[in-house]
Amino acid sequence: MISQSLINAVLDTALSTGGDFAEVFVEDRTVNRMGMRGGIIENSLSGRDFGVGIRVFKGLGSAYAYTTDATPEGLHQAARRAASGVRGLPEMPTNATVWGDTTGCRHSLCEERAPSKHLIERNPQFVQRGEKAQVMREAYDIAKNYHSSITQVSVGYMDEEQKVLIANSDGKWIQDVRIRSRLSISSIASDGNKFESGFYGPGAHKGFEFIAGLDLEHYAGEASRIAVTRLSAVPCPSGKFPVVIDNEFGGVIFHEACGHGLEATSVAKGNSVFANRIGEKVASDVVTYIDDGTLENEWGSLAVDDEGEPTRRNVLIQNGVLKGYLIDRFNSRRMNMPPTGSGRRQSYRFAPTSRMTNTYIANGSSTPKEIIENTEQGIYAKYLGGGQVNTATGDYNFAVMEAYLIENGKITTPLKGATLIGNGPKTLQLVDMVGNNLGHGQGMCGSLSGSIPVNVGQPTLRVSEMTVGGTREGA
Amino acid sequence: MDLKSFQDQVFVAGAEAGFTEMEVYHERQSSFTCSVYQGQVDGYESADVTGVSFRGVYQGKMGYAFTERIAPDSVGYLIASARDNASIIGDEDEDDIFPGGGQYQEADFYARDLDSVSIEAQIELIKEIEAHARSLDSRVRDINYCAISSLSMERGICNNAGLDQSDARNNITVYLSVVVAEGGETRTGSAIRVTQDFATLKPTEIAAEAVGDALSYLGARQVANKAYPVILKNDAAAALLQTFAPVFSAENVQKGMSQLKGKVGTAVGVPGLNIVDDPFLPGGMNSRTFDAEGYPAARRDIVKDGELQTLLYNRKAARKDGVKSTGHAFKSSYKDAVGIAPSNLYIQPAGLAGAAAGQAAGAGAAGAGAGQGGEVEARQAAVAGQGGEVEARQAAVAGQGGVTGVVGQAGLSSLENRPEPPYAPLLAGIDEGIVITGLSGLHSGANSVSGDFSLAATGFYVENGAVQSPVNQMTVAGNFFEVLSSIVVIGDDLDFTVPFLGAPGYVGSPSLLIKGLSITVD
Repeated sequence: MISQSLINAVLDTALSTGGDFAEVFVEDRTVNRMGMRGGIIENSLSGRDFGVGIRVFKGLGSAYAYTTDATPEGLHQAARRAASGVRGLPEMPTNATVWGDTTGCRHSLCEERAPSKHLIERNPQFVQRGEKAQVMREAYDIAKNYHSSITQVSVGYMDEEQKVLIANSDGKWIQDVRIRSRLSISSIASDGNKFESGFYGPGAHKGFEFIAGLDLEHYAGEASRIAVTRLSAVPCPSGKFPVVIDNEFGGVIFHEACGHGLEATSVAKGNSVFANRIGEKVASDVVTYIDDGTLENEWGSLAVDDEGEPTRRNVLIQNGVLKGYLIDRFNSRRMNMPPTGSGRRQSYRFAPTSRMTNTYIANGSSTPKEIIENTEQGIYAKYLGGGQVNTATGDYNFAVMEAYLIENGKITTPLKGATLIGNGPKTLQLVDMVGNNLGHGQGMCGSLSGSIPVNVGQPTLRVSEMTVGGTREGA
Repeated sequence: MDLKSFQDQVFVAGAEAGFTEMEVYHERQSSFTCSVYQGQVDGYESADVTGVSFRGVYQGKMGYAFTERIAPDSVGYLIASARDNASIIGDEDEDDIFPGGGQYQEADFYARDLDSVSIEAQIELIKEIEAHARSLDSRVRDINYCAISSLSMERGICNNAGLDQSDARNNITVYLSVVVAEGGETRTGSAIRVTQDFATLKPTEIAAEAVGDALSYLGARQVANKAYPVILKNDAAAALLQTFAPVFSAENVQKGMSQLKGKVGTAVGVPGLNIVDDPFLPGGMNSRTFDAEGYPAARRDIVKDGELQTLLYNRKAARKDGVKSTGHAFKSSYKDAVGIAPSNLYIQPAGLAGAAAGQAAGAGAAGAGAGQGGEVEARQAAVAGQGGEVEARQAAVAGQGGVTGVVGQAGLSSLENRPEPPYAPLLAGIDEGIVITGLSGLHSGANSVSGDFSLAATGFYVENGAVQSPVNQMTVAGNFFEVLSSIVVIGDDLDFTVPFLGAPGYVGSPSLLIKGLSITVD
């Protein structure tokens, strides 16, 4: 991509105003997207992102510059812009610990390739569009033929190959290739008056072998089944109820209720409800919460993070006790704690910061059946939509895509229009049953460093009381 | 290599590969963003990026490809990818490249003065804002985010039929988010400004607005879960309109993704409701002289006196319906396919006619006198010209200086002279109701096909025509189409949202009093 001697010179320029650390991130990403509606390909797009981000630290200040101009002149100019951002800033206090790389030293960049744990069988860049479209058509047919009330099905396909080079003034020089594939199915059902939708979007850090091997009957069928079920759903009652949340994407609740609050971006300045609470009991005993970027070929997995740090398995909460945070290199300075392989960014257009990878609630001992049977009255949230959180207050919300009433330990009437709201720290204390069927769902997570692929996961579990926002009063 | 020679090479290679109609679109963006924390710069970002996309007709189908690498080795990639992409398209609807020839309105969205605002001045401003915010009230626990961002963007479109259009725009955005705490209760509040005039950014006003906003939520309580009359504060109403703006897309209507099929010429909202899309709106963040197909942009009435006037069209959707494009072809960037989206879309504020507009402009939004008379005024507003709108917009901007949101009860001596909230005139006559000041979960809790929404909300409890207290986090549920038909009063405090999570369009609304929405309180 760009020669070592040029990168070295650019790092020097970046440090020219007294910075104590500099980093260059080079990204070359090829993406392909296709969209099918009504069984035909409506759009097909390809493109190549190519750019460079340069970051400089000085003490507790950092500056970032990025450009699409990868000529020596363009790179030095960007490095100068970053350098000017830390000019005059105070240096790191001498008693502070700075975590860095010990592997190399300046001007002898140690060439490394990220360990290839996430094996790819078929690079999608070399798969014909026709073969990709064929899978989309199969998914379309399954979803469309699921039921006579399905009026419209959209199928989306995406693959990308992201090549990165991360070099820094500690002597790191590491290259990594991330290949991801995703298929998404959206079904719309109508009875002539009402329109309801269903969605499923499986993805992985894999090549075309993932798309070709998908159980389309399951995924496309589920998207349509959700839409059809919602047609007969009645308005959700509002009030406080025990809520049983199913596995896989159900984990989005903890992504919002505590995951974001454990990221250094909100913890470092003490503004998270979880700040300065390591060792404290923050959740009920049955809650163990883990972020693991090493899971083989999972959607949120990475060999190394976007700062070149190997990803790892970070236990955040163990049996209810707060064990750790997700920390990037810059915030590690403010927090005086080592980075955790959690520095991520959407692209070279974002400075990396602490983010989640594959985050999940670990298995408990109950079976999903026991959890339902032990719930006399409540709400069963089978599939959740997206959510949002205010990390300073811990208040979160998310939409329920498919929900049912639980009456006398049995799942009964389908409900629509349910939104769950609550406060993260409170909800964590109210988890009273955790199932043994851990599953992971795929999503895109948006925050300070852009939109990144993450897994959310959990087994089926129960929260003893949550506020359910619906349209039916006083049920 | 320079863009012009790259473009030329692309057209030559494209013609050789069998493309008949070809277009090259580019965007060049430079930006500077900085944040401060405890008086020190803690985030600093500078960007200079260019991207190019190619669109071309190959054997009757449209092919797309983009690159950020403007180099000879990208030409082959663009053309080969676009050809492969065209070849897989199964859509039989005709698509073309606009050859040009329309009437373009002259406009300049680029404020040259902004270029001369130094980085030092920008950093100084946010340092002042942060210091003010920290000093305003002892309950300010910390500053979440205090940042400034200046952006300039240029885009150009050029094709092998001779079309060659470009425009540029710039602005500065300031954002402040504060955390306040009292007695174990933590709340956040924020203020945001988008402007082309640096001198209008007043640190004391911005700090007071965010702190006042946060403090106003302290002392929150529960109220009964039921349907209430609801005032959607201007920016919350705008966020709702933004979320449901896709229902006005002709493409969505044609594909059964919007319920507005066959509704043009019929009532979709209360009399007096006017929704306008104006690509030439002064200060509009999505102002443009041409759309993503190069087609001339123009101001359009979308809803007039409650009646749907037109859908939003690009060329492909227009051809299908046998009408002309309305200039609403849109792509979020050069990476995107051409779709449809509004430019600067807003619900017209009431009180635009003659004296009312002048008064509002003079007194700021605090002096807005909509009240129950708003409906009548709104109807008059329909006949008021463009001049009225500009004034109302200025009034709204001027009014932003004050503290929005209602201020809590005790100990606010450091925040003096707070004007009334902009929706104050709408409170009169509400026996029991809710003010919604903010909505979240818009990306997941709204169904643009059915119009149903169930969203998290912040706000206040109203009794006997006055705000009584903040309410714990709520959900508000209803249906967008029903909201349009159950507006009781349209305020005259027009304000705009900033684009969120990539949602297209710059969308505005005055505060709206809605007859009834379901409220659930945590």
